[in-house]
Amino acid sequence: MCSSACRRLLLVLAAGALLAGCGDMMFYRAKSDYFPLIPGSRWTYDVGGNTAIDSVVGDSVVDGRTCVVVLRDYAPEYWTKDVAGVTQHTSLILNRGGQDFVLEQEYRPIYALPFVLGATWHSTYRDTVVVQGTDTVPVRDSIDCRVTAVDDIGTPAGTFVQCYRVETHREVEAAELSYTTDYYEWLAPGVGLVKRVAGTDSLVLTDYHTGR
Amino acid sequence: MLPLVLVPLLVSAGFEVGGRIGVVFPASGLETTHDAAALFGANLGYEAGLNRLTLAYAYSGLQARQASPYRFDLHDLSLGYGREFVLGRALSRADSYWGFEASASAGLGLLGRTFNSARETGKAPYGALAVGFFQRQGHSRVMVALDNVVFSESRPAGNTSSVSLTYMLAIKGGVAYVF
Repeated sequence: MCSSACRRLLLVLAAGALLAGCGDMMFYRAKSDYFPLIPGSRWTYDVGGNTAIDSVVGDSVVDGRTCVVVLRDYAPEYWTKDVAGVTQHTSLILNRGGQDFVLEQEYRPIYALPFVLGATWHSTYRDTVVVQGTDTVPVRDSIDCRVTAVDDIGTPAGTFVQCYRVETHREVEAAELSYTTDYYEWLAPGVGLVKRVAGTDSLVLTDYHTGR
Repeated sequence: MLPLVLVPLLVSAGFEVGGRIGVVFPASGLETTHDAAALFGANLGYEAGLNRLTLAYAYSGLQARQASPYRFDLHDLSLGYGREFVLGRALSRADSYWGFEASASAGLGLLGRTFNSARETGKAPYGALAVGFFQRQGHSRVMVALDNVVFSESRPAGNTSSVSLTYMLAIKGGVAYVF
């Protein structure tokens, strides 16, 4: 025979069970790592019919900062991450007359963390570099980013829920290296980049392994 | 007119009104990016003997673990049942006693994450189990409790359902006026 107190407890628990059917996964998003840089991690992408492989191989020190080395198709990239954001070491090198001139070399902010729907961030690098003794090259490298959606994304590697879509506009003004690009990226919790679309080009995750 | 009806009801029915403050400690992975935060709340209770029903509201704003324009607001509304286990009584007053209280509650968390002007909102149901110490003296009641809160979130993911549980620990103290 259940006592009155016991019945009340059951009522409370039943109410909780009824409520358990809903939720917006906000805690899940808040505690998830959307850009894991764990040594041993490996991502395989389909890039317009070709295969590209990214892998985290370890740590290094570049320009006085400890960073994570990511091999992108066997070419090293240097990334840093903390709770406030993700940066990538960027080198913009102009070759003239067989000589290299460094136009930009810095850790450029890529993502501001944590992701929140509607969040925006912006960074601009400006410099003026003298090339070949007489030629002055103004350098401007800027990105504007915005978190525009929370999507579920289907890829050959599986369906990823609660992915943040980040839209990026990048402008580089640096003599003949100038370009402008717009791209959309989807980052999945615990996985990282699962899809990128830039114009008609796309990159889609086909396989991944998260390191420990 | 309303007070004329309410006051006798409150006096005769064993209601209590109180407030509470405390600290919320995020866990389940949330603590890697969020700091502990203060909790403020209010509660309306009804007691019948050693049994108590409580309707409570609380707010806490979790901050990021760095200087950042980020905040995780958590408003929660809960209904709970508690039982008092009296350990001692004052010899001089029959309405003065103290002991332990165990309670279970279910509620709904209304969530908001902000980053500068960006904001996303959501909700998550939760269940909580609490144990604490209380002291009752006349019309006043003080308590200190440890809350174990589990938020549950679920949504369809293809043919299956994706479920996420988030645990939080709260230490809170409160005072109440018992009618």
